[in-house]
Amino acid sequence: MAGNRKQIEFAKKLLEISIEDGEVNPERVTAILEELKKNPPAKYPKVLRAYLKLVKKEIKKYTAVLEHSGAISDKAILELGKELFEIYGRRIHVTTKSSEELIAGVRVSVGDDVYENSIISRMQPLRSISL
Amino acid sequence: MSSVVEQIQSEINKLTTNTQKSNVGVITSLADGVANVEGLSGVMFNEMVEFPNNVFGIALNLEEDEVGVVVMGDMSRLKEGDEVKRTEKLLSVPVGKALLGRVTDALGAPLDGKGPINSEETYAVERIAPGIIPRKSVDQPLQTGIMAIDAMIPIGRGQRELIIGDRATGKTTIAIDTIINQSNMNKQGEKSGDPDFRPVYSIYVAIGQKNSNIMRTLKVLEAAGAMDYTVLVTAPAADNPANQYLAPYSGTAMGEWFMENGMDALIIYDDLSKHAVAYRQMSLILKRPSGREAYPGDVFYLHSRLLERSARLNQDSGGGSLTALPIIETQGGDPSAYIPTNVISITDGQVFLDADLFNQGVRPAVSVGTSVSRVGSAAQIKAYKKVAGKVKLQLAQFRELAAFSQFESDLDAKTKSQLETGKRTVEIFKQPASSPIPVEIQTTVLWILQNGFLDDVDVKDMVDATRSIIEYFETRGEAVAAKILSTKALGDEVVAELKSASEDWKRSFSNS
Repeated sequence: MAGNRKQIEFAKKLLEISIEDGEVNPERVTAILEELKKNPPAKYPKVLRAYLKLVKKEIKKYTAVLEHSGAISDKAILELGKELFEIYGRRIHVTTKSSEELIAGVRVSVGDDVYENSIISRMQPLRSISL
Repeated sequence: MSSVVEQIQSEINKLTTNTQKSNVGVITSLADGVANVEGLSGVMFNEMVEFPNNVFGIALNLEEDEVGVVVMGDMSRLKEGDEVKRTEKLLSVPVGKALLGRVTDALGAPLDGKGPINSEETYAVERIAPGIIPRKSVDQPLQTGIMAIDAMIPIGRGQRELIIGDRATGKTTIAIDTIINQSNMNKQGEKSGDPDFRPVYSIYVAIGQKNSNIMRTLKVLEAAGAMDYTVLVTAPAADNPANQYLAPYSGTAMGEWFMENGMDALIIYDDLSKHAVAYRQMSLILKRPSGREAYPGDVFYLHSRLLERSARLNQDSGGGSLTALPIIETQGGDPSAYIPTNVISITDGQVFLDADLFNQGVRPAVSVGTSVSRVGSAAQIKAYKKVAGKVKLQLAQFRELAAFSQFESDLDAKTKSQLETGKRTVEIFKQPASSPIPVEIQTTVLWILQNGFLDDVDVKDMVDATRSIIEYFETRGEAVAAKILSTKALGDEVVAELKSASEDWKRSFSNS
């Protein structure tokens, strides 16, 4: 861990310059990657891995994954985007994913936060009791 | 068919429901009781987190990218990639009188098969110790029932007195006897109907001990009828280090409930050496920097924050107390090792048990010279202080003299007399396990010794004489003993009665 510190610090600086208006800018990322390819830093693979991890984490912060069981309307997605803007104070991109394991309801993940209103989450306490 | 399912689903979707928010993370690595978790961005230090399959852990290392969580439970049920949820709760244990008579694990869950613990309250395991203002000086005795301790190293309610010694020198026995004595006194006090009587409830925390030893302790306490006033918190050697680390804090939370509700409690930590070892193991796995003897830098704080929670509160704060008797095991009789010196400096004194004395048959093997009680003498009852005042000095002088006299063939009369008195005093303090002596009886025994009634008794007969005095004052001389207990002083009237009873005892002992 301690041996990777320099690479992590470098990757953090790369992330900083990858961000524009609070979001990771794909053009900047492409430019950074090309520059790195031309002038690879020490321990290049480690730098790239650390950079990837940080970029993923950053994208996760403003991307909401809406898992749902059953149909979901565009209007509901739009409403969700507005609600999330209220909570996080920034634009949140909503992506949808069908998930039958919820049985019914939805689960929204934004970064480390999970908002859930599904049958499976309601059954969780019952499951704990039976264990 | 599918339309029917969709119909039911749309009906369910229409129901008014409450959305649950949670903060989650993912296990990235898992080894030796510690899970590294990515995510959990909002987690607090010492917060309980929930793994799948009803497994819990405590967040102990909060780093920039990940959280080090100590797993309390079966790690084999977890795998990399599992989701971890915040509970937004600090680790808590049940507290209250419902715990009395029960055996629990480090998290307060019952282990005795007597059903659930019907406790209405829970306390956080980690709590801040009482500050300066709610405290009060120690002024009420906590009798151990062990004459050597009560006479020479008296303990007061709210004190922290360390019991230290090599393995198998009787450390646990002292702790158990103290619990038994509290139970005996509680029963006697409740029977007397005295409204001022304050019972002492006991909590015995077994850390890193063999299950067989814990079972033996439980049996001794049950046989003495002491479990009615006792809680047993166990984190045996087979338990994971996280539980061994937590057990003393859990026990203290249980004790604090009594203290904060105006009652008196006693807590035994058996032992803090193993506690430090468990913490060292956890810290090394968490990759915290290690210091002396590979212990982490905060090993002093580990014990200081635990023992500072034992206190005597003033009347405005309820007047309760929590007395702590931590136990430390030394190696080769050396109290200058890292953990022993730490705990010695935190506590208000120590009872040092000497392996040589133990092997010579002096039991309890209390080394008078190295044992001290810094605050307890203020709590001794007047009558006892009067008879026990000089005993410690006399005995310490005797030990020194005895060591020197080995090289001298011709001794003067004064030295010989001092040696004889010393030998008698040593014999009088010999006491078998699980037989604590009430304070009023201890007072009579020491009064008889101080007033020359035992001068003509052979040293080899001293143990029998002591037993005979105890029996006498528990039966025929009960009235005098009761008077000492009620007046708590040796007034002229009591002394006259004591003298007459002692003469009566002497006659009966000489004839036997």
